[in-house]
Amino acid sequence: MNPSSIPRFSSVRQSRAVARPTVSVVIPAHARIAKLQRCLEALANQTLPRDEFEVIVCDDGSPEPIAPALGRFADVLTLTVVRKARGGPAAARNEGARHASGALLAFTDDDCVPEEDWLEHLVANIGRNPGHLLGGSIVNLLPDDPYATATQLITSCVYDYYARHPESRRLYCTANLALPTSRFWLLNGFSEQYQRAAGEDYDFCARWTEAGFPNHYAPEATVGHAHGHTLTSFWKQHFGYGRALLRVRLGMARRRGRGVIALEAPSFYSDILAYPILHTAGSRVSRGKATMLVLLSQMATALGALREWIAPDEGWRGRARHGRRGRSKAPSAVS
Amino acid sequence: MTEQAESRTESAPRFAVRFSVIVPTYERPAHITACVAALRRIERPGGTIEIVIVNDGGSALPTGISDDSDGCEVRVVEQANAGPAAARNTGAMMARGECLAFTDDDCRPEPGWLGAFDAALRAQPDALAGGRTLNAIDSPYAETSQLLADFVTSYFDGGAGGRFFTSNNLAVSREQFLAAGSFDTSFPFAAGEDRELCDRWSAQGRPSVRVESAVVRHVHALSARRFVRQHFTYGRGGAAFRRVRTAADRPVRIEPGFYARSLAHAWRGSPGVRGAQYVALTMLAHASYAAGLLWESRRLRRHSGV
Repeated sequence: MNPSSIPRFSSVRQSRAVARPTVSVVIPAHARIAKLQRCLEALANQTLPRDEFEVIVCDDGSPEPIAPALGRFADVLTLTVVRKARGGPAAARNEGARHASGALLAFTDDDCVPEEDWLEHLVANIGRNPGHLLGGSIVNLLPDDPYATATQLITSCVYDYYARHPESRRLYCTANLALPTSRFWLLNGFSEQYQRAAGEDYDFCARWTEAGFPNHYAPEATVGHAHGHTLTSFWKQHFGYGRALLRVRLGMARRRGRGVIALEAPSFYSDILAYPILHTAGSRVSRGKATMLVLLSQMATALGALREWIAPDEGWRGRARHGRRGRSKAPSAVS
Repeated sequence: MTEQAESRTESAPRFAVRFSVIVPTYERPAHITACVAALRRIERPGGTIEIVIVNDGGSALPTGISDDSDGCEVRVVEQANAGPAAARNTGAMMARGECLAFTDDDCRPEPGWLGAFDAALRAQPDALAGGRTLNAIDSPYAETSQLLADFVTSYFDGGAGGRFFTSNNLAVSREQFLAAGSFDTSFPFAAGEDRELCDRWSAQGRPSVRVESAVVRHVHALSARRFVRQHFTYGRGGAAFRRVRTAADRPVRIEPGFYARSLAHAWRGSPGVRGAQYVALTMLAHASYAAGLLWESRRLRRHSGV
């Protein structure tokens, strides 16, 4: 007879017949091997003991398999590399999560560099907030790049806006997101209809809130993000966000049984435009330039949404027309 | 399309026993004593079994319950009161068996219970296995509840509608159970944690198998009031469940045929006067469920910003 009282989450560590990690870090990767190696180096330097987490890299159909380039990490990380046909980061994250054995899933991207106490903070936080969706903070690692700076400003502004409106849903980016594995699957994982790197996180966060699950912002768990842009790629990215945004909003309206998309309050949009003016002090990108780029990004987003509205991709639009009674098996992650 | 490019660096698993039986209990000393007595008499795959009794914050268990007997290692785990789902997770965490078998203190497994699960899990090591539960109480309420549970289990047979097993008669590999995320304890699925686990299990594409020969006798006494309350509570759990399924873009849809067939199933239990009684009580169960569902749906709408 050995009575022992068990705290909810940390008990994973205390008594296991089989060694199991507490956290599974899932990283979708496509071709960018040098960046991915930098990300894995940061994971090898985590303060969380090595046997408490595993890393699963999902090679999303890179032209050359990336596993051979990661051989050296086998000694410093519990690393699994899975390879699948190209299907976009949402599908790659689902595939990686299928190989996860931790009770907590943590997502980041191959162009990200987690700080060394990232996982330690996430584990501590989920212990205090069981069942929550945790969003960590994202910092821009390219302060000289005006495009990366502008994107970061928009992300920060959206995070700030939702933080001031705790009753509404949240947006946490997949660059720094953690949640219980069970709930990830209960919601069918990321929707694989988002085949580009846009919208799947927004969609997931919206569905999380609709399911009645709680979320928590964990700014102490930080990930650095290094995504350089040219003017063209910057435009394309925000145009893509616009297209994805409309899909997400249509999905939300469909699940509510309404045909009309709800917009954010007007202050949301004015905040985005005012944000660079208020928050670029000390930045290496001038205030004027940042404002111009944020304005440009919002134009791209609006045009992207318009493009999606006029000429939507086949497949998902058909579902939207069917309304709530549409085929329900379509987005199932597995089958 | 998946290939495992690198193997995991974990050490090979070592198991003390083939099966750990997990039994959560709360303030039912007579039941847990009888349940453990029944477990001591069953056939033991692998020679020795482990029985993990999880005392969910109740008073001390009867003395002698945890004495080891021939081929049975009995362990008692204490936890602060957190409900049966959390207690089952605790038991799974503490278990030393390769496979877990879940049952309740008001259940009496038949001698061949674990042997049947053992064969099923050897054939399909990654499957969630659900056994057959029989009502062992002479009460129309208990009988109707069991008939309805049987019907729901046969209706959700792992096909397009998904899978449903009750948590008082389940077996699964410990590794697979933990990998699937255990029972979700932090969400108020009132009495619906088995439904939630089975649904998540199918959504993940994991296999499941019905094992008719894994038999448990259920001795849960029900009065009319408790019968209505039980189904009302299931309805409340159903509301939370529906909300999650809608958010997962897999809305719950039950065809009208479901209700007609459930009544036919109740009638077939024993055609005649008793059958008519079961049909009437099944209708009462559906009405109680619907009331619970509506009540909880309204409450959820009021309490959420969505």
